[in-house]
Amino acid sequence: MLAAMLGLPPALPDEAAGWKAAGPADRYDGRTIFRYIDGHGEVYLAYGMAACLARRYAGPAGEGDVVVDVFEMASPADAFGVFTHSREGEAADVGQDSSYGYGTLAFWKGRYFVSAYAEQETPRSRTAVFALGRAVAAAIEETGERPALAGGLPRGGLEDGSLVYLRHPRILEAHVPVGPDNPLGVGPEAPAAAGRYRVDGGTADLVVVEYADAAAAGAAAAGFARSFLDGERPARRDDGWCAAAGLTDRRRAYVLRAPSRESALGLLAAAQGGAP
Amino acid sequence: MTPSTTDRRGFLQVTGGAAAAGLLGASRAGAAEGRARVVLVRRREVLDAGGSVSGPVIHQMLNDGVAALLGEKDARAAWRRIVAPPDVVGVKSNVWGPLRTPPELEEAIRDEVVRAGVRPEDVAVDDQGVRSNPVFQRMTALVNVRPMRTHAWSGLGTCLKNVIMFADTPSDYHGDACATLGAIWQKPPVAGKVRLNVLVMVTPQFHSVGPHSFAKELTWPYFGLLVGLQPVPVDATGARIIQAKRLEKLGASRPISPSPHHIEIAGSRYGLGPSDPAAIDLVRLGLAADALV
Repeated sequence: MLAAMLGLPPALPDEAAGWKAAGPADRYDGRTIFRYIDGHGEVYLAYGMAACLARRYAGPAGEGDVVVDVFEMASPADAFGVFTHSREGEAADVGQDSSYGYGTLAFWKGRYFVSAYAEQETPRSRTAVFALGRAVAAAIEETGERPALAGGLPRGGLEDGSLVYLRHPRILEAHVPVGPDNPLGVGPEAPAAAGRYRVDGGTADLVVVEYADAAAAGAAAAGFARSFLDGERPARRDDGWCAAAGLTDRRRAYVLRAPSRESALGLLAAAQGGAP
Repeated sequence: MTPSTTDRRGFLQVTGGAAAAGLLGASRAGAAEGRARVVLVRRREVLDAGGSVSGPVIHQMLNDGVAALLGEKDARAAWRRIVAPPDVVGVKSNVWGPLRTPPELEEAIRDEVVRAGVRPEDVAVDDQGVRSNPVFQRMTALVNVRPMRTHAWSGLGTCLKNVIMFADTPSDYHGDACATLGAIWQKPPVAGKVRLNVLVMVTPQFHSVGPHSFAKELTWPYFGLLVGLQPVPVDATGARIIQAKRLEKLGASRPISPSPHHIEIAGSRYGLGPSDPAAIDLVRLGLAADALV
């Protein structure tokens, strides 16, 4: 009942694959999440977390607990985004996109990002993690669209698992170091999609940001040019070549850490051409 | 000659904890200008067959490290150069659930501080309550101890980061991968008070996964402690070990992320010690195998 009132899935399962709920689910909001996941709560707030429903499951003798966390995010795009930030390991067939690594199943579906985590990974706990994850996925009736910005990144040369969607500068820093003061102007009103690409001679980072309006895009472009470019031309920094270009009046592409001027411009051209 | 307590405290207040190296005898310990000594102590026996920490072993490791750090044969003498009456000592620990400072190590530090002559009522161990802890509110000296692990915002949870609980608004230091953490060390109540940094490398964590940022498979038994007077050389050495482990387990394409550049910046901008391995005199005690550094 409470979960339904909060817009969360109707219920977390009471048991699955021999793991039984150790108690009722706990609910956390943006203020209390730090009591639950000390040191990491800000990641979910960076994607507009509205609530988190958490439940612990005790396993058979000799097995560790499994913890299921269901995060209600601000939008399906944010649920997709926090999944791209968090994924680890191999792809799994749960929800809309999923991964499994180090005992943790992560997936997104609709507005929800879900994690099922085995404190002690064993073949049995892996079975339980997937059973619990699938039960939660089935309880979430809605689905959501992946953000168009992420879909617009070129696919050629994109390293597996490197695409990330975000709208907070702290998240960008975790994937593409850009230095202090948020020089790309990423934020709640300026979401970004980023990926690492294989290019001639190495790898390069591509970040595409969609600004609220042309003025915001222009201001960010000028700031980036001051810090990273030679005027508006590509420039070489300690960690590689940088380049930038407008894709639309609100959307701009930035290339960082390219091994050569040519590879930076090539990746920029691919971004301007959209997904091949 | 050991300087008087008054002289020592005055010097620390003016110059900051990093300068304590010179006054407390680092020159006698062999540290030259711009260099720092860090001691890596490793003993396999620190973990029993079930993975529990042995109190007596970790206590001896701590004392061996402190003695080697200050070039003393006797650990008791070394501790008396770190704290002395009438010091009031806060032991800043870290109680993050999955990987906390071992209580056995907290107790060992408290014991040694008291044996150095500090009154028991003038010693406290705390983490998240340091700002309201009455002992910490009147502390004259700080011993900083925490485990090394990867971290979502700063790349690594370091000795440098461990003092963030003293900040009025910790989130003020989260920008650019916590680049300005060193600034906390220049402000009250931390400035000039950190006498010893202990980075716990018993089961360090080389990678983080999921909302709880932890899996036992992401730690490994390293059996170590890193001990130093300044935070930067201690953290920089720990970071090299973590990076080496990531290279071994995750490959070359997975550097520590975000970059833990707060360590280098704390040295170059805030004067908290060298991060360049060439400027760090690493003293190794005990187990040598798989040191990764």
